[in-house]
Amino acid sequence: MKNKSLNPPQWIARLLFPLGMFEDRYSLLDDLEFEFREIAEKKGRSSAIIWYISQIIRAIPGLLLTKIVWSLIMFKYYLKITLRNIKRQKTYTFINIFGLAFGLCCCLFILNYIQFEFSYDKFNENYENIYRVALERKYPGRVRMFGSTAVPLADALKCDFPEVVVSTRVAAYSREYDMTYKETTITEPNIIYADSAFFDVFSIKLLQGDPETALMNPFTVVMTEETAVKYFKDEDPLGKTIRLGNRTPLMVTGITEDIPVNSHFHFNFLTSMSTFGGDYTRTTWEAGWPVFTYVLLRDGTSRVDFDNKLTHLIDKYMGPAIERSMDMSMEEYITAGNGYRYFLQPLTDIHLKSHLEQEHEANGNIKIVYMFAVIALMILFLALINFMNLSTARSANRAKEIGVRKTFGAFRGQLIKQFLFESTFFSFAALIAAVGLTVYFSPYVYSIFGRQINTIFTEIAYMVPILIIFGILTGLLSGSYPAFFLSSFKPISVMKGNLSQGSKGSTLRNILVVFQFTVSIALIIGTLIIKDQIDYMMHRDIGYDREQVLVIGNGNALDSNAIIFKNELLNLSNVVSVSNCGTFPGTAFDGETSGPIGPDGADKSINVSFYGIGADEDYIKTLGIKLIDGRDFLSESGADLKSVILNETAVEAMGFTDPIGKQIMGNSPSDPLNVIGVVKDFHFRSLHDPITPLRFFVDRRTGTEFTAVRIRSENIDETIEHINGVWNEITGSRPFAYSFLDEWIQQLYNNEKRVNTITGIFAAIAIVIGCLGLFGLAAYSLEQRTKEIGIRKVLGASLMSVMTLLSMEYAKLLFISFAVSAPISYLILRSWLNNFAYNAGISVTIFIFAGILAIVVSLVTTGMLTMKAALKNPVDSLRDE
Amino acid sequence: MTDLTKLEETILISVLHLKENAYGVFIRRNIHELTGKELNYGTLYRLLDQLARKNLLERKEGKPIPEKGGRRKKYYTLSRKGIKALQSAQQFQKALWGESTKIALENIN
Repeated sequence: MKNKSLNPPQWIARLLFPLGMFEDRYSLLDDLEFEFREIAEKKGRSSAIIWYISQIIRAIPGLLLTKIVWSLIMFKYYLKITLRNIKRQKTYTFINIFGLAFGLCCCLFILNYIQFEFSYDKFNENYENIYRVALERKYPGRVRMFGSTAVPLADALKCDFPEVVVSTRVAAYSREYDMTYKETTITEPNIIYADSAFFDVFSIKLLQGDPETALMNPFTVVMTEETAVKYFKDEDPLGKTIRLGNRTPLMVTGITEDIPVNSHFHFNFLTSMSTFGGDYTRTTWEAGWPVFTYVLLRDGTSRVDFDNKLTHLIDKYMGPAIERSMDMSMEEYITAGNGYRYFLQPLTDIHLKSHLEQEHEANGNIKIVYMFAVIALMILFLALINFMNLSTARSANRAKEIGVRKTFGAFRGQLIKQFLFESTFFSFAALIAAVGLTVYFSPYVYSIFGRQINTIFTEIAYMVPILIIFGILTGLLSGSYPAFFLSSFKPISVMKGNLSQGSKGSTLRNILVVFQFTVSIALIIGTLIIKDQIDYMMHRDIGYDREQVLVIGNGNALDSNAIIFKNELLNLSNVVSVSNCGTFPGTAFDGETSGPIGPDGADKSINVSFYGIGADEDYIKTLGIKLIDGRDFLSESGADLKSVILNETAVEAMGFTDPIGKQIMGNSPSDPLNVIGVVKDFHFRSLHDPITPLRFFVDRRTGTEFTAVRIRSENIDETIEHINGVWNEITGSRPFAYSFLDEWIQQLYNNEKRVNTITGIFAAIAIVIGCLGLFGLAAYSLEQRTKEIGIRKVLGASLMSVMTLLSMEYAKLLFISFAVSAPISYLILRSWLNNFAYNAGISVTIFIFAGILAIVVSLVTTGMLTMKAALKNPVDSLRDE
Repeated sequence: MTDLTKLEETILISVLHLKENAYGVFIRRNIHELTGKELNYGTLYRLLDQLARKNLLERKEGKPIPEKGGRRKKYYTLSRKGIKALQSAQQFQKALWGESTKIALENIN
């Protein structure tokens, strides 16, 4: 009786289906059905169903195991076939894997860089709650942002706000001093101070010394371990005395670990803030901004809320300060177009996003990090496209193999698995190769980045699962096309050679190649334009003569002997002229604002920012700056203390038509300076920035920071030796450090040069990947067209014409790439060039060069292949296989 | 040749007994009759597959089933290798469980 109720429920049986096709699957179901019926007859359908369900559930583990065993067996089988195919197509396989590995390797480097850039300052415990308090200053007509703030701010923050756990100050100006211990004297360029709460905010470990007290007392200093070894060698430094500037004794109260590379500031020496009186401890709110103020806020404090509360500080403290110094009330001050605003900067934002005036060190740039991320994605994309293209091309050659296997009973599913296995295998092989390449090349690459990223991957734990998933996805994605497409072939059509798959999908492949080359060509154009701009900046006339100028950094070695030093140098035969100055020759410091003083007093409507140069009477002469009106400073000491020399732009800004004899404001409206001369505009800032108002003044106090020496071009080494001799005589053999002005100027553009190197490298990478893609495409399509070529030859086409025909196809692709990339790169780079106040424009030759390069590249890549195809004997190509 | 596991041995013996009737259901029942042990289908078929892979059993096709569109039911027989395996298992067993072992087991507490 075939009653419906005697059949077991089918839907439950379906549970077993995912456990795969194993040979006895149907037998199992039959067996279960057999017993089901017996039980249904004996005990009724419901008991039978219960039994059935329980049997199926208990069967699951055993069947799972079988399935696993079989998967392993199939794996071995797929592996065998994969390896066999690799042997048969060694070149293709190698190019394919290498192409992907190469692309992956580049991405890994970029990823590492990005990760590093984002990791800055995160070594500080509580970094999420640490902020720097920065200052926004409004002046009439402009706004300036400062990283540094007034000294009393830190205490005010701690006292007035309960959300502030602790606040600390770190010096915003670093000074260069000689440090001496016993016989060792070294000129240290970067000496800063901090107050005693420093270690409460920053997690820099003190290896020796007590973090609570190390920076409390005056005349104490903390140094890094690396630095300590330089001076103390094997001695224990703690408690010893080291001399600052050969004068001030400092007691060593702590040794810190070396500052991690990924910190936005570094120091070798950290003196206590209480050590510096006078200059550095300006304790009023209006006395300038000599420190960086950092705060640690309580957990859970909202940044926005606290930010808003900071206006309280302005009201309470700045109001009175402004009244004291400017004779105005706060309201008047604000109405005149001025403003004060404090705001919070999260600690971890400083490195990438902060570009205020006054930073510890030149910060990185988040735009560049994003740019790199985009480049990484592009390269990845290109490499993946290539991988897919080449995989498809490769596997098209295996049509016959597929036909044979299908004839012998292979299921389509098995073939699909085979191809997916292969492409995943390749993708993992590429991954491993990529990691290997990365490890191998890391020393070279990091030297280009100009820093030491100490560990290869600071978070290996993250990376491994990501890489594995990535490998699987790449494999599956790139293998999907061949897997599904090729496994659908009918064996008969394959055997007959009837495959007309040449046209299918070739448009997509062509588009991909065009895309690859568009990117490559754009990168080449970009690199060349950037290089042009850098050359322009480095060699443009900057308005004075920068050759043959030796610059000596004095620190405080010369002190009052500066003029004696200068006169001694002038006695040397090869010395043309000497000048003592307060800033690096050719540069100026960002000074205060000033305005003209007319017959009716200070004109408060004109309030212009000036750069300043503290100079002596020979500065303009030594550098070769052109004086176009008035006179230079006089050499008598005490003369010209209230005189200034302006540049053309300053004169214009002050609105003077006849500047000599006019006056401008000094430190305050009641402190006039007399204009005695005008110089032709020259570049005292890098060519990134336009020329702004500049004033020279005589500053005896800081006049001994640098000495500029113009020397003759003969016997330079000898001259330097002589100068060194004079220096030693006068300073008692203090460390002698010098540089050449023109070399120093070159390195202002190091950042651009670095970017350019990197763009250049990426251009090369993109071209390599593009060529691989083109090669694969050409190889594949040429293979498909052997018959066509054979026929052409039979009909009388010459070798030349066949080759031209074939090559033109590829050259066409490159024309298109060029046509697309040229306007895009033009637009992008033109807007980049506008960042520079002075730029060289974009020359046509670059585009011509890029275009020709593209053509040459395409011909070289495909040349061999087209030649091989064109040379093939028509007899062979037309023979039925 | 590696030794048979207990379960493998049991199944081989069952197939031995069942001769031409060694279909899944019957093997399972047979084992239950012989030893009282209840083998679930998952384990059974896993082992059958395993023994087949090891070439101790051969799969054969039996009568066609009209309801399932003429598909033939599969049954198992011992292969040459399987027979040899059973024989060596028997010897192994004899050797282990000889007189001395019997006595020792009786005399132990």
